[in-house]
Amino acid sequence: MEIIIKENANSIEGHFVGRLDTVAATKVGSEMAKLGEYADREILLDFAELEFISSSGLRLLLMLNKQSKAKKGKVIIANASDDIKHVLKLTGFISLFEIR
Amino acid sequence: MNIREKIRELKWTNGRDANGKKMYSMWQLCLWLLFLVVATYSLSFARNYYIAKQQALLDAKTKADLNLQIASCIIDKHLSQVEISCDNLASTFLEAKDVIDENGNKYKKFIYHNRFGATASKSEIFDGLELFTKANPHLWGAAISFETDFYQDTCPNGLCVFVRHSAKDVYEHVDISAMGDNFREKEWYGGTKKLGRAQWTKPYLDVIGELIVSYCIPIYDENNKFIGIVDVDYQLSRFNEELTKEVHPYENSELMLLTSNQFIVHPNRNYIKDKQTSIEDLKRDCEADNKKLYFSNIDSNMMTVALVCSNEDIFRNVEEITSKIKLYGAIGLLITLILLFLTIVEIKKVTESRANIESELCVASNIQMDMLPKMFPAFPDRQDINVYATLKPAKSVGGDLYDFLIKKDPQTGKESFCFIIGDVSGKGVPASLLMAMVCSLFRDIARKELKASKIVSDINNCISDRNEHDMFCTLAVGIIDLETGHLEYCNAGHNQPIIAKDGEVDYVDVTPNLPVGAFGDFEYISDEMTIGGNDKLFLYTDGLTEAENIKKEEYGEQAPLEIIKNHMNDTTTNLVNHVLSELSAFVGKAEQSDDITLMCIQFNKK
Repeated sequence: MEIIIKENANSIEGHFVGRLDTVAATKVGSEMAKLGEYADREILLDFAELEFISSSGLRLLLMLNKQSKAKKGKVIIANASDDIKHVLKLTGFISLFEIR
Repeated sequence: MNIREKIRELKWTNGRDANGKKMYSMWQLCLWLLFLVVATYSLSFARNYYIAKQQALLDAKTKADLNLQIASCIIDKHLSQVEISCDNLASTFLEAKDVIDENGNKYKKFIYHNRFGATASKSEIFDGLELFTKANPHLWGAAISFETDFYQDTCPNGLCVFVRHSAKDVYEHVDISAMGDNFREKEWYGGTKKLGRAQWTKPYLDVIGELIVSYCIPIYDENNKFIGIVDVDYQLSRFNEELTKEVHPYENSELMLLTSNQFIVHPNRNYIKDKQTSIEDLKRDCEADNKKLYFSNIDSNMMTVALVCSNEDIFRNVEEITSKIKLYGAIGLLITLILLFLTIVEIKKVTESRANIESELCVASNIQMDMLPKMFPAFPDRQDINVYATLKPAKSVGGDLYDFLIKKDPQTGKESFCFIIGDVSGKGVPASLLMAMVCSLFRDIARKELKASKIVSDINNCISDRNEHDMFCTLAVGIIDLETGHLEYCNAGHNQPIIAKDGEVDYVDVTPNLPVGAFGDFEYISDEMTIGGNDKLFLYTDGLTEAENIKKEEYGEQAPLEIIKNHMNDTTTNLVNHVLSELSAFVGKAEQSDDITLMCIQFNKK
C-alpha cells in the first residue's frame, strides 16, 4: 500500500495504490496526516489504483472527513472502482464525500 | 479449554500451539542457531584447511624440484671438474684427437705417441701421477693401466700403477699390475675398453672402503689399437658436505643420493656403506613413515638425488595459521555464545511479558465470547423462531459481534424477536473494547425500544459522543414481529443480508446508512418487509466475503449465495455449518485475517 501525495496551492492530491487493509491502515499515518493539513481546502483522493478498502481504511476516510468538515474544507473521491463504490455505498460513506 | 491451560500453552511449555503444530522453545531455537553457526564455521574451516594443505603440498613440490636441480648442478659441477682433470692428465702425454661417432657426436680420442710412454719407467710414471695428484687435490687418486703386451719386459702382466692421496701430503703408490691382471675384468677397465670412449663408472667401494666413482679414458696407439686406460678416482663424500649445506628446503629435510642399489649421500653415514637400497625401497619407507619423497635421476652416472621431507615441515605454516584461526574462531564463538545468551535472556523477558499480555487477552476474549449467546437451540420450546449463529475470531480478541433476544411489549403483550450483527473497524483490543460497548448498549436499548432504527441511532449517539479515535462499527439490527412476521431491518453500513423466501434466494437491497460511531445525530432509515413460512434470513460479516485463499483470491458474495440456494431447506445450524465448511475448503491453509460471523434466522408464522 502506498499513497502518493501531490501538493498544489489550494488543494492536495492523494493517489492510493494497492490494498488499504487493516495492516496497511496502520502504516499510512504520516501520509494521512499530510492530507489532513489541507482540511481547510480541497482534498482529492484518487482511488484509480486502490484495489481494496477495509473497515480500518474507511476509518481513515472518516477521520479525514471529520477534519475537513470541522474546517469547512472538502474531500473528493475520484476514479473509485465499482467494488470500492459498492463498499462506500453499503456503508453509507458515499453520502459523506463528493464522488467523481 | 480453561484460561489456565491457555496461559500455559502461550508460555510454550507443552511444545505445541493451538493447532497442534510443533513449536520450539527459545532455548531450542538458539541451540539450533548455535549449531548452525558452529556447523558453518567448521565447514568453512575444514574447506580452507584442505585447500591450504593442497597449496602447501604444491609449494613443497616446487621447492623440492628447485632443490633437486641445485643438487644436480652441484654434482655436475664436481663431476665435470673431475672429467676436466682426467682430460688434462691424459693430455700431458697423449695427443687428443676430435672424433665424430656414427651419431654425429664429437668426442676426444687420446692417441699414444712414443713421446713419453714406452720409454718412461715405472717410477717415472709414478712420479708423474704423484705430481698430477698433488696438483688436483680434489681427486682421490689417478691411475694409468696398460694392456698385457705393454711394458712386458718390466711387467709381465702389463703396467698398471695408481697413486692415491691417502692423507695430507702422503701419496701412496700402488702397483696394481703386481697384484695380478684380474683388474682387466673390472668395469672401469674392461667396460671402458669395450665402450671405446670415456665413461663414468658406477660408484663402488675401493680397497679401503671409500665410495668412489672413476672417470676412465681409453687410450689407443697410432694404429687405433686399444692399449690402456687413464683414470681418476673421485671420493663421493666430497660433495656430500656442499650438498647437505646448499640443499636444505626444510628444517628437517634429508638429502640423499643413491645409485641403483646403495646410498652415496645419506644423513646417517652408516647407511652409505652398509645398506643395500633402491629408490623403490625409499618410496616404501617414506610411505610407512608418512613422509614425502621427491627425487630426480642424474642420467650421466645413473644416480638419483632424493629429498625426504616430513609432513610436519611441509605443513608447519598451515598448522601455525590453522591454530591461530582456531583460536580466533573459538573467541568468535564465545562472543556469539555470550551475545546469544544475552539475546535469549532478553527474548525470554519479552516472551514472558508477551505471554502475560496474551493470557490477559485470552481472558478478554473469553469475557467477550461470554457476551454472545452460545446456547443453541436458543429457544427450544418455540416452533416459530429458530436461530443459529457462530463467531470465528481471527485474533484472540476480535471486533465482530452478534446477539438476539425475544421481548414482550408490556402494554400490548406482543412478542418480537430482536437481533444484531456487527463488525467494528480494525482488530484486536481497540476493536474488542468498542464491540463490548456495542453489545451492552444493544442489550440495554433493545429491551426498551421497539424500532430498529431507534436502537441503531441510540447506539450511534452513545458511541459517537466521545469517539476521539473515530472508531466505528458497521451493524444491522432487525426486529421481527412474531405475530405478523413484519420485519424492520436497519442497516448501518453493514453487508447486505441474504434472504431465502418462497424458494428464491437473494441479497436484500437494503438502505445504506452510515456505520455507528461515525457521526452523532445521524438519521437512520429502516427497510420493512414481511416474512413467514419458514423463510430464512442469513446474516454475516465481511470476514466471510473477504476471506482469502493462498492465491489472495476473495471468497466473494456469489459463493455463499450458491451454498444457501443448495441447502435452503436445511436447518439453520446445518446451513451455517455448510457455509463454514465450504469456506474452509476454499481458504485452505491461508491464515484467517478477519473475524467471521454467520447468523441464520428461520421464522415460521404461527
